Amino acid sequence: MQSVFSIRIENKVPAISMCREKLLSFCRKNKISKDCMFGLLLAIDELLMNIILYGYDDDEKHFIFLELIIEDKIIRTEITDDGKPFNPCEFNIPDMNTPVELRTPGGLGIFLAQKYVDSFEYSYIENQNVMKLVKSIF
Amino acid sequence: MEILHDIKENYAILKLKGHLDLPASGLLETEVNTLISNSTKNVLLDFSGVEFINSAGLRGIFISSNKLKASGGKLILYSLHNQVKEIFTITGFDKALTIATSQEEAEANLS
Repeated sequence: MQSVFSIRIENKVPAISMCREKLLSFCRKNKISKDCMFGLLLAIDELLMNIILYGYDDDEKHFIFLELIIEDKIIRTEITDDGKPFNPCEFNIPDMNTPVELRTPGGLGIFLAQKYVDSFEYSYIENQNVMKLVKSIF
Repeated sequence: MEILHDIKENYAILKLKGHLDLPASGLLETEVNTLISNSTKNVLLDFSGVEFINSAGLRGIFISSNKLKASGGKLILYSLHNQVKEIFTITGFDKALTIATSQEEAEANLS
């Protein structure tokens, strides 16, 4: 059995929580455990926030596409945006053992996004950033 | 996110309800600034109603804690759900903040 969720999100901060609520109800419907859901929602939240806050130099309206497929105890997520090319896999993640006060800002969200999924892949296809996340259901 | 206030003699309790994300973090910082300008030194944050936090939420807490420290006070978090607590631990933010298990423990930390 395959269960699919897809949504088009505008590049505005309030769209993040709206999307999170919809994802929550999709995960609940598919009986995803609270622990598993929390990590997945966090990873998606961090990536959306990065795109919306830093992905665009203009003030135009842009759309981000998110798709989730639940199949065979695995959740596959794909996030596509037309923002500036940005590969989160190459971002310099701060060392979490360095005291917070001494860290240079940036990278915290990407660290969390990577931490809570099993695989985290980036590609740039036809002027679009494409992030693919895979998470096993537990 | 909803923020409920309980102003005591030596401190204020802010009960957070919902998701601690970017807009909520801004809301919390504003609340803490208002408390500081009203001469409140210490703030206890009741996390029992926080079901979700992201990096923006972590930063908001850290900024609020620093502001209270700068005005000679303290920010103490308590009653965190396991998943939320884990975010503080894996990012090392737990070492930069005071986290208590209960309200009683948080209050004892003030004296």
